Amino acid sequence: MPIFKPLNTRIYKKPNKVVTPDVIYWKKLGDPVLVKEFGPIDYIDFSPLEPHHFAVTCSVRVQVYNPITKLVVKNLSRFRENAYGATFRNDGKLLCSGSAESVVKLFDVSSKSLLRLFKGHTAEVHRTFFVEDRPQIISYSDDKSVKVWDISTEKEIVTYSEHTDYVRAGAVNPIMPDITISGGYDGVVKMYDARVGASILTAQHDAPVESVLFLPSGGIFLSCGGTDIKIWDMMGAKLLGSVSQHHKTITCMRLASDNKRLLSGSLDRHVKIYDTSNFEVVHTLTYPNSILSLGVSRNDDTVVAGLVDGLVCVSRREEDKEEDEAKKMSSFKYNAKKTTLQPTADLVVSSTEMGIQAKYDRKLKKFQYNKAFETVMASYVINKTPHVTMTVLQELQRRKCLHRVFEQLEHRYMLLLLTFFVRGISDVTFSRPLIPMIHMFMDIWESKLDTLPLEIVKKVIELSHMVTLENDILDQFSVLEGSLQMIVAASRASETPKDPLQKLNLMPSEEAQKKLVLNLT
Amino acid sequence: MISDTELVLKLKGGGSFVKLPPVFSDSKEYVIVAGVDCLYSYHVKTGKRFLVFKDCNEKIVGFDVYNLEGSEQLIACTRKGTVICWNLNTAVKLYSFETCRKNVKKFKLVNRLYKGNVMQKAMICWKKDKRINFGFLDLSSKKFKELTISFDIGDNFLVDVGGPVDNVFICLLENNILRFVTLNDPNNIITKKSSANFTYVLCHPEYECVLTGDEQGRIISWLKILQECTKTIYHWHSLPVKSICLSKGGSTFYSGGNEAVLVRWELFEPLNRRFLPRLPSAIEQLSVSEDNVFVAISTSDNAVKIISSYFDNVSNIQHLVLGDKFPGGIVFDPRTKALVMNGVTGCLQWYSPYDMNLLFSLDVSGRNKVTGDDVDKFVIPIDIVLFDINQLGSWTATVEELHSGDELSFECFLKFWHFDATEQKFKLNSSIMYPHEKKITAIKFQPSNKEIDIRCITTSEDRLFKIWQLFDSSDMYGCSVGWRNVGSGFYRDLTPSSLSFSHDGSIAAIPFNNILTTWLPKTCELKCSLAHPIYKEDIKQVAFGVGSQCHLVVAASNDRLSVWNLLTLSMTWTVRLNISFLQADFTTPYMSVFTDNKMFVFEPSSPKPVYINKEIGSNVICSIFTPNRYKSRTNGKWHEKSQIYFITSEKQLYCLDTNEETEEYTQFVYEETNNTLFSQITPNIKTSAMEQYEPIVHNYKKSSIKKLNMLLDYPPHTMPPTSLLCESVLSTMIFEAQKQNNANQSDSNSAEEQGDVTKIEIKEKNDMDVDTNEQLSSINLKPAEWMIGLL
Repeated sequence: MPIFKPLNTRIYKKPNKVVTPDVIYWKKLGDPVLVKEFGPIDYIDFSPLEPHHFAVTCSVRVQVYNPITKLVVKNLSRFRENAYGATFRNDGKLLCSGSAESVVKLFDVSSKSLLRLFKGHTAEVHRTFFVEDRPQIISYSDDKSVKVWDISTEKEIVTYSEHTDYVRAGAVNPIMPDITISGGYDGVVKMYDARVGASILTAQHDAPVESVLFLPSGGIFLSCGGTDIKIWDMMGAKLLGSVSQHHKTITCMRLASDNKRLLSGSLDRHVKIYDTSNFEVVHTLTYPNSILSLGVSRNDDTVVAGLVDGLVCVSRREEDKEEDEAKKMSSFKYNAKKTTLQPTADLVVSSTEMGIQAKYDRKLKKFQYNKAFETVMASYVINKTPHVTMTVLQELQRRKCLHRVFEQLEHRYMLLLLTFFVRGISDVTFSRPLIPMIHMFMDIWESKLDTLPLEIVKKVIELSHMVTLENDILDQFSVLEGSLQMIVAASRASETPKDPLQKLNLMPSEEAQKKLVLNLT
Repeated sequence: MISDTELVLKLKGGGSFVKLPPVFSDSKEYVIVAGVDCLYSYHVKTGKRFLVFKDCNEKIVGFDVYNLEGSEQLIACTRKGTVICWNLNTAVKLYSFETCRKNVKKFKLVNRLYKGNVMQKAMICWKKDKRINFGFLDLSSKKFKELTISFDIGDNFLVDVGGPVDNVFICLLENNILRFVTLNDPNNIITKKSSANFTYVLCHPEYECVLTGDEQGRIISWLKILQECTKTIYHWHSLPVKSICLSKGGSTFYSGGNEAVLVRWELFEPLNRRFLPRLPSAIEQLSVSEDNVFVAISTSDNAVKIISSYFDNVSNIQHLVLGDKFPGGIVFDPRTKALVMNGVTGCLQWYSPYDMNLLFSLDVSGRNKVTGDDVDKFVIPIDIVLFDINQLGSWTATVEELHSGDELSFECFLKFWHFDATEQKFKLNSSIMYPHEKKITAIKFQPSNKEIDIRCITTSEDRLFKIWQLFDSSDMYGCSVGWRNVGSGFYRDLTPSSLSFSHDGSIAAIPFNNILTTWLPKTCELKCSLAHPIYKEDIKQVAFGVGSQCHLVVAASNDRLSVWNLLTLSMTWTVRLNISFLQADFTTPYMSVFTDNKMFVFEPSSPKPVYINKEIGSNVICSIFTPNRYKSRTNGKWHEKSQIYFITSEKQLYCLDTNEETEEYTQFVYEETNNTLFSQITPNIKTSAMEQYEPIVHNYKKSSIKKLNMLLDYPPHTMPPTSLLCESVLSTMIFEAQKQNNANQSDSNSAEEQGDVTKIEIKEKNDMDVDTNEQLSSINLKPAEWMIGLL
């Protein structure tokens, strides 16, 4: 015996957003925990060590947070003026930071002690980075220069002064420690080689550069500024592509998901997540205010965004391991199938398993049409899943019992039905099947309108208003369609190629007319 | 005369298998089902056919199984009164007995409950001159005893016989009147009236009890009619009762009707009932096995379903489903070599005519079968009206429509099904609601050997035709395809009635009223429109020629067949014919046209038909040409490469075939679609004695450079650092070069093998050269060894 085929309610369902694996992945981040700081959040950096503490630079201090408890673990506040761009070394033990005092400071994270002080810049230092595998620090300053420092001797090794405006962005090549790039407010990205001691490459970004980033292969770097992210090839500064998904200045970029995803935060309050192979947006996160800085922990567990108004939004990935364990738990009594031996000699009469059926399906199966109608006329069904109501109404009409249902309508359901009519008549997908139903309803109740309560009569009047309105709109649309078709037809007619000789309209020239030869045969 | 006498009609399926109730053998191993003029025995457990009982040559009115001296025998009675008996296990005919009675109405064995009783009798009932005659045939002595009871009765009566052997009674029903008589007292006819017309009668084999079904869906049991007459009413059915069947003990009975629900009742307990709902189709016949273990349900979709007494499915015997009509015609599926046609409402069926086997059916609409509460309130189901399969058999397009009176409640779905090769079934890919505003008149796939870039055109009464195209909707997460509308066309606000693609799919012919238009499916561009100034009949069907006649388009209107030449844009010939429909073959240039009394086979190039059949014509509903699976010895004839199948109005599938033994075609290939006139004059295999010198090409240039380019084309950020890559790139190049050398050698060898005869000779010479060379080298080597020995 075949099972009862459930109604296909998807026919009238509005197509909802496509759920991709990325959406599911990033949806797991959950609601962010908000931590209030003083002043705009300048920079966020994650420690490469477990449990991935993160350093938040804002105002006159650098605070190290625990991502799980969201509490401050360490507070580095040995700044007289604003601190900028605190980053961890790849072992997580040291932290360097720039500051408005135009010095670069090096801290020991565990003891919070200041280890080194690099003096030499003449203006604010906004970004500082450790060089991979070398005892060096690179700093990017508002005095339009980039300096490389030796940590042990506290001396500067090289200075590149090639920008014409503030340098607010920088990155160190992860493969070649000699290579570094800087982005300035002059809209230029420069690449330097420490072996040459000067810039070897210049890329024109054409907007104040807010952040630069190397992809892990080291051959490609990204720069962001204005509303664009530009992708550059290190070989000859070839522009590989430009991504503009934000509508306000992009302030920060981060790699995530084992370098397979790129996150960009912008003043338009969104964080866009791109696939790094084709730079298509796979997901978008929205925050309450403009984003200045962004941090992602190594395993995507924590995403932190720093906002202009001093809020730090810490979103943590929700684990679903607990749920799995709960599912496995079952009492012995109900798990008898697995533990007891099945008898083999007896004839086993298997029970037919009924799948889970929707309420309206169960009623339809039993031919209880009035009850099926009542289940889908509940106001929450009409509001949340109008396509279900529509499908069941149409099925009742197909089964030729809608007439009877309408005849026996209670006032309560009549009001709901009219509300559904009023709402559905202006819907493109619903209007077509609704029209015969409204006809049917009016045929039955038109003559008895005076016996109905006032609110129902009011609804009927509202419905008639709605129908006139719809008619007017449709009339306007057909006028528009007609005029559009005229334009399209005209453009097609002009397209048709004509014989060029026809246009010339060749007439015999005077010379030709003179040389007239008559054949007399 | 062109008419071929050697072609005969062969039945390839169809015909009802559910006119008579199936019968179980006493051993419960087989169930016997009656076909048109044959009986078939099937295994109960597997549903596979076991034996065929032929030799009837007439319509069978009744059959049964009885046990005589330990061996099971099958006995059947034809309409002409011939009683035939077979051995059930061997299908060997034991005897036949002529009762010489025409117009037999009923045949039934009585007193079957007394096993071992030699007094087994068969009742035969026939009508002659307003009189109902009964004959009793003693199966052991073969004696036939007649008994005439005169009833004043019309032709449409129902009769049954029951009761134990010493008190046999007969029950006759006509309209709403029941007549009852016992054989012990044949003159005492008792008449009873009911409020509704009767539809079924069944007599209890033991007691004086009659069960009747009526049009209102009631089942009434009449008990002790001769005495007080007790009536019990069992009312669940809302539609007329079609069949009732008592269990062998007689305490329970089953009933069924158009609701497609089997009901089990306890006798005299009208409220104690069990249901088996949602059977595939209306119940036609019911039957119970000897010990009540199995119940056989014959449903109107030409199937017999065997269930156990606790309503579990045991097996299913499915024959070609006979719908009310075949609106979509027949389509040939190239993948399964099956004929595809409408099956049960909302389903398509794949039927293989070679082994007369139903392969599978596809539920297209996915809706429950709903019967109305009343006969008047019949619920019209949504049904498939058109369908087509593409040339590779990988896509099926179906059009479902529902016209329930007014224009607003018109429903239409266009669905595209893709064949999933791993799961071996069709899966729904795209479902389009309201592809057109009005009825769709034709749907065709563009002929294409490719899996991508497939197009499909629909024409509709809304005066548009639409082009649907397969598009790639894959993203970074996976591959997927879908169908979408890429263009629509119209012509002078006229209705397109038919559609045909040229053999290579480059052009589509669509007739609008009397004007034949051709379009480019790729760009939806009008190529030409053709209309004859005199013959202005509306064109109903069009078909392109095949092969060398691919420039000809055949257009069929109701009373004219004309052929247009697309190269000269003129009508080539025209013939006046009352055409019911035109059928083109897609592999051979032949076409067939069915008129009200004849069938013609012709080529578009000539108005002279190659074959005329006067037997078939008016009763053909739809037809199809299929590539011939068997090699026919009649070379050069139109039926050498393809066969024509058709369905008659009696719902039987026939094919025109030669009357000779057939052998399997070894090769079964299509003609290539790009078979141009030029390609026909060029040879398939070319040989040349000219030696071809291959220019010297450096190894590194040949293929490794391609791979290197491929590597360089990769986005650099997805690659490891260049320092790590360098060595492996270089090493692959070296390896490639070596491989290239080897490949060159093997290539030249294989090339020589494929060459013609002269080349083989050369090769043999070469081989000899090689041999001598080897010998020489061995000679060269030997002295060296000898020298080493010396040194």
